[in-house]
Order: sequence, then structure tokens, then C-alpha cells
Amino acid sequence: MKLISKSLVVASAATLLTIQACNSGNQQTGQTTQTPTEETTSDGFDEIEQTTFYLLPSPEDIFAFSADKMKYSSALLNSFDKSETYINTKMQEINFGVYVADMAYAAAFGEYKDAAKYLQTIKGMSGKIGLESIFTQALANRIDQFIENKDSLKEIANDTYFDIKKSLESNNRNSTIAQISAGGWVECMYIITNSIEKYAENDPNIQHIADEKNVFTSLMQYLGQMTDKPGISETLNDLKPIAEAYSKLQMVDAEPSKNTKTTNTEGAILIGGNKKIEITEDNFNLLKARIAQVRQQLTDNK
Amino acid sequence: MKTLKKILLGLTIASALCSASYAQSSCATFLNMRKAAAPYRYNTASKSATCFSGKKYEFLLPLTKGNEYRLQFFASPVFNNEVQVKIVDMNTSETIIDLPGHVENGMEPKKGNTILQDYMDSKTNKLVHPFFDIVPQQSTSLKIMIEIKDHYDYTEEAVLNEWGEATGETVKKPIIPEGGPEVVKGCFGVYITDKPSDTSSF
Repeated sequence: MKLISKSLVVASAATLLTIQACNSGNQQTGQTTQTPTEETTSDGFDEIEQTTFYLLPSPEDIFAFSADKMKYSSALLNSFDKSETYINTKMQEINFGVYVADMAYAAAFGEYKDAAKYLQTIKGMSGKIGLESIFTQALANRIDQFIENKDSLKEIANDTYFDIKKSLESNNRNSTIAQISAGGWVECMYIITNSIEKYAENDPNIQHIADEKNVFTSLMQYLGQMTDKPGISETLNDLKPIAEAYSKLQMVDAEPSKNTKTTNTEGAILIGGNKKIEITEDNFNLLKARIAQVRQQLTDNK
Repeated sequence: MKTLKKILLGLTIASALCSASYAQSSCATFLNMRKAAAPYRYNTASKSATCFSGKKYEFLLPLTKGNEYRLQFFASPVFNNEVQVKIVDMNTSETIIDLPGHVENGMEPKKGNTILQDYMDSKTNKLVHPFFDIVPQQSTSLKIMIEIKDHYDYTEEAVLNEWGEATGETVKKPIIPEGGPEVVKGCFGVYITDKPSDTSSF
């Protein structure tokens, strides 16, 4: 009888603990302003409204393309002193994305001191938007351990971005992801466009800027899904000058590929071979100016 | 004694159900256990989402010329691989992939005929989860359309010959409940890795 009683107590305690964990499993520690996009249907299932998901590259992915064709310039980075001036949630989230991009840029070039400074800035801002749980002692130790290794620094920057994204997705904070993505994308493009000294027709960096139209279009559509969320309509409005500049870029026939096969020798599927986004010198100059204009507006807190 | 055993059993089942429910609700971490196979590296555009049977979903993925992408798809067991995935190149509107989650009864899964079912790789003699390598010759976007089919339970039915006699074989048949198929919830993940394209040169 005593053994049965003990078993019952243990089983009950285990069950109660598990149920408690279930209920708290999706709650984030720290201060959050959770803006769920779920609604509960009458049968008790949580149904996500969004059925189109926009898969956007990280700043590290964007810089990975161009880093070996650019020179590093810390003058292009958004001053970390400004981080204290961002008061409202929209500016905090957007500029969190800006600083994530700055950190990725510094990491891409192995600039440890700058990368570490921006990581501290991001960490400081994370508390304001409920992401401080990302910045654990384990992450700090990891950074200290891999100071001199450029590839590891890039990996840390990418892993941090991944953890940020995962934490926000776990808590259905899609509008925050969208704002951070918007800030990060604008900063990446500001840095890349200002790293190009002169337009050249077959410059791959220039073509990359044109190709980012696809990413920008996805970003605008992603934001467009959430216009009922605070700050999103404003951000869409802020990005309009860039949208207008990109609308002038046309799809043209690319040079016919000498390879007429649909798969390469290793079985990979070859796609998109006969159309490309054309960017003229006027297009490039207009885009560069508009991106700079929007970036200033987003980072100067005006 | 019997009553106590019943209570213990009930508590254990409740606990197990709760754990399963919690596991299912964490779709954001559904792809966490996946590792990129060198020389590919993890692409942060990868995503997993909570999905429901009987519904359709789209994932829009921009691809950059100069990279080679490897796409893999994963679904919660609750869906029974009852999924159809179609991928369209938005530059050309060309369908690149249109495959089911599992092959038809009696067929063998192999490279290129299923999107979810593991198959035996004849070269390595190992089970491989399907993957699709894509090289954009110009930057473009992919529209990845996922259809999660209606969920059914299945029963084994005897196959009869033309005279109505059992042949000894059986076939799986869905049990369609009176009120229509049950809606189940699970995770669907698009796992993306990439590497610089071998054909890129600047």
C-alpha cells in the first residue's frame, strides 16, 4: 500500500510538472510585446492566418555574395551611439535589424573589434524588444574564444541571427521579424551601393543589386500581410521610394546560355536561364540615392 | 488496487499527450536537428511552419545567381507523407518539381520520384532523404507550393479477383468518417542549404 501511494505521488507530480511545462512552453522569458497572428477556431485548433511564407536571406547571406569584391569601410556603419535615441518599438526593431546588418558586415571582413561593438549594441537593444534571452554567457564565451578567426566570427554572426529569428518565430512575432528584416535589408543595400565607386555594365555587384529586387519584392509582400500590426504601414510607406526605383528595372532576355541542358553533370537542376533584371547606370544611381535617403530616414529617428 | 492502477494509467497517458502536443506546437524548431552536408552551409531562409491537413501553403524563396541551393522537405509523421509539392520558377513560370510525399502502393521510392520518402542510394547503399539541387543561371524566385492532403485513417482491404475471390493481397483504403476527414495539425519544413556555384566566375 505504501509503495502504491509513493508511485501515485510520483506519477502525479511528474504529470503536473509536464502539464505546467506544456502551458509555459511557448512563453518567452523577459519583457515581450507578443503580437500573435494565431486565432483559435471553434474546434480548439490554433489556426495561422498566413498561408504564404516569405523566405528572406539574412544579412550574412547578402554580404556573402559581395564581400570578396568589396573593401571594408567602418564609415558606412550606423553609429552605435544612436541606439539610445530609438524610443518607439518600430524604430527599435528596424534599427535592431540595421545593427544586425552592421555586425554581419564587420564579421564578413573579419573586423573583430567592430563586430564585437555591434554585438554589444544589439545585446543592449535586445532587452527593449524582448530578445535578451538570446545573449547568453555561452554566446559571450564563444565570441571571446574565436576572436581572431574570421570564418568563426561569420558563423557566430549567422548563428546569432538564426537564434533571433527562431525565438521570434516560436512566439509568432512575425511583425518584429518583418521590421528587423526591413532594417537589415536597407542597411545591407546601403553598404553595398556605397561600396561601388563607379557603375560598370557587367559588374557582378551591380547585377546583384538588380537581383535584390526579388528579395525586396518578397519583403514588401511580407510587410503587406501585416498592415494591421503597429508600425508596419509606416515602414511600407518609408520603403516606397525604393519600390519606385526598382519598378524602373526591366526583365530582359539574358545572353543565351551555351549550356542547353536542364541539369548539370552532377544532376543539379538549372533554372532561370533566359531572363535577367536589367540595371542601367541611371537605374543604379537612382537606386543608390533612394536607398541612402530611406536609410537616413530610418536611422536618424526623424 | 484496480482503481489506483487506472488512475496511474490515466495520468501517464495525459502526460504523454501533453508532451506530444508541446512537441507539435514548437514548429519553429522543427528543423533544428538537421545538419548541412559539406560543402553546403545552412541558409537562414529555411523555415518550418505549423500546417493543417486539407490546406495549401506557399513558400517564396529568392535565389541568387552564383549560388547553388539544396532543398529538402520534412513533414510531421501525423501527415503520413500525404503531401504534394510543386516548385515553379517565377522568372519563367516553368514547373521544376511536382512530386508526391510518397510513392504509390507497390512502387519503390527512388531519387526523383518522391519529395519526403527516404530511398536507398544505389551508390552508397544508404538510406537518403530526398534532396533537390538547384542552380539559378539568373537570379530568380521560386514559388514552393505545398498541399497537405486530407487526413484519413486506413484499413487493409482484401484484393479480389474478377470472380470475387480473395487473391491473398491487400491494399490500403482510407476510412472516410461521416462528417468528413479529421483535420490534423503538424509541422512542415523547407530546409535550405547553399554553396557557391561551381559555374560562377567573376
